[in-house]
Amino acid sequence: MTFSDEDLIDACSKGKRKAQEELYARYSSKMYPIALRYSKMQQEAEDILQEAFIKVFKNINSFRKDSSLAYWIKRIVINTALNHQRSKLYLYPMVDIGDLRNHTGPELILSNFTYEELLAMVRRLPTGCQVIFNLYAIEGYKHHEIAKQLNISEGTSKSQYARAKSLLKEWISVNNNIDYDRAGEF
Amino acid sequence: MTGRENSEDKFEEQWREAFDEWSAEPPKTVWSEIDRGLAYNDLSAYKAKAAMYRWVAAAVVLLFVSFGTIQYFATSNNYVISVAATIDSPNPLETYKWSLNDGQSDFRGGLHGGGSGSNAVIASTLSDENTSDSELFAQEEEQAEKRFVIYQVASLATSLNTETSYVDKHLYFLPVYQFHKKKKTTDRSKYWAGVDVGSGSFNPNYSSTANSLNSNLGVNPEAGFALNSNSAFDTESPTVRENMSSGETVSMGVNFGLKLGNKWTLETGVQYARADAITETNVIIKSNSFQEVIPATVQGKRVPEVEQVVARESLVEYDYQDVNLNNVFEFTSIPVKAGYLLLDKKFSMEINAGVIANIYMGNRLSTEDPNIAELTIGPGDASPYRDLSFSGQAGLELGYRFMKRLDVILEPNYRQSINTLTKSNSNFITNPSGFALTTGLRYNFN
Repeated sequence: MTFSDEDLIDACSKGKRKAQEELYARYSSKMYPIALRYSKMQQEAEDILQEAFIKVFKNINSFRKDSSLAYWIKRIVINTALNHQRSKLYLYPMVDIGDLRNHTGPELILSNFTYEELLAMVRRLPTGCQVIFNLYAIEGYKHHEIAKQLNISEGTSKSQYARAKSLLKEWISVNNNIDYDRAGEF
Repeated sequence: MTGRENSEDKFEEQWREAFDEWSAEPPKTVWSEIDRGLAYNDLSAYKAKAAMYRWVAAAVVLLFVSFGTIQYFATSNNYVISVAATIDSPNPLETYKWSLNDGQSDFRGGLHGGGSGSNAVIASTLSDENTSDSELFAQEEEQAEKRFVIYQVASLATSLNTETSYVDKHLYFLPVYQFHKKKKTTDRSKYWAGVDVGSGSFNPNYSSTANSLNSNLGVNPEAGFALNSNSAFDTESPTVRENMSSGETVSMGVNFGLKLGNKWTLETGVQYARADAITETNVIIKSNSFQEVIPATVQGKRVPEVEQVVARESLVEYDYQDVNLNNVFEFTSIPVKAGYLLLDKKFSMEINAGVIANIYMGNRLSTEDPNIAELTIGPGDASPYRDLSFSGQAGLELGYRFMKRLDVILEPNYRQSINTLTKSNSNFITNPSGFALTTGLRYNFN
């Protein structure tokens, strides 16, 4: 028997464990890659996912149905990941913003890469670059939103992203020369 | 999360599309950890409730003991007494002074008062007249009960048949206190003081060597005996059957203690203790000197007023009448006990044993029958009871620290007299014993 999201939310808000398990089963496979993108190691990603879902179940009563449940859970996972990384973030301007466009070379095609290879590249980025790349390129935040969220300057966000983009383009361009060992096991 | 800066190339779009489509199953251990975390959260809610219930339980125990003690004293003091005999020093309980009036000799009239019989007949008649109505009411009530039971069974069946979408939440079988944060050690302090109240059983373990009116009350050896009910005269003393049966005891007091080393404790204090028993006798004595009849109990043998009256009678008028006298013993107790701490945390557990010095304050024998004289036996040379007696005590003290310096205490214990409560020259012996439950509060000084 398949339950709607609303049924699951109602049951979860009453603390029904089976419903919580069902909700986890429904969304964990989508949320786990997010946690992986924001972490360096698999164990760290599992911790983020675990903590995030406990927050989801504890705060499910506060879920307002003006957005989708998936979006709400994703926000919690991202926030949990940011909290995990916050202590490791040493964000400062890394490149001159004026140089940003100079690094935009010819268009690169990612379809030649597997998910695992792309993930390995993202996780290989310095922590600050990794976080801002995820927020900007994948989640679609603007730099001023990222700056506000991480309590940094907009310039820092831009320069960190420029550095991330530069590194990724470099790694993509050399294609087969990515050092997966440094990216850690997936 | 919309909008794009530097959107002149498709770099970000490619990355987003690549990861948007990606899904990966997390390891199963993640859910297990989430499940465990949720169980911890649930348990913390139960823990809060458990803490509340503990407070309620402690309050109920204290209220119960306090109310019971007050009720006990309030009930026991409600005597209707017209005459009391005293010896030596006055007893604190004594509120009525003994008085003699030689002119008041017609006490027999009071013994056989009429009127209650007619009331009983009326009550009986009313009861007979209402028999049929009562049966009807009983039948209706029985039917109503059956209907209610059927309704309950039907409700239960309905609830059992109701399908639920989800299985009820479950909890891991983990002790509640495992989830307490490690708090500062709450070992017992070196010094403490507290108050306690207790109640329990009191078994006087009574035995008597006296079984005749002569030996019980020290009647003049030359005197004759007259059985009042049939005016028979005899020189032989009538047989007296006397016994003292078990009752209850209550106590309240203050205590002080100190810790000797890591495990040993020493505690003392002062307590007021009151013990009740029932003295049963089957003979009463009548005298022109008393308005009331005197119960033939060996405990009253040395009560001066009784002794004087009985000793001077040349003809002792007596009658067979079963009398139950309420004995109320009062003591000031000083316990000294040593304890060994089995557990010395927020919850503490201690086994203890010691000696209690019981200072006899008095004993009052009374009934609700105003025609039977009350006897009050204080301490002193003429008393059959020792001024000081000793008893041993062993118990298990359970403590719980519910505030920074305050513990609530609950202690079941057993007491047994070491020496007799009575003097060696008394015609009867009591070796009291009994179980008790003591509760109280303890303040830790450091």
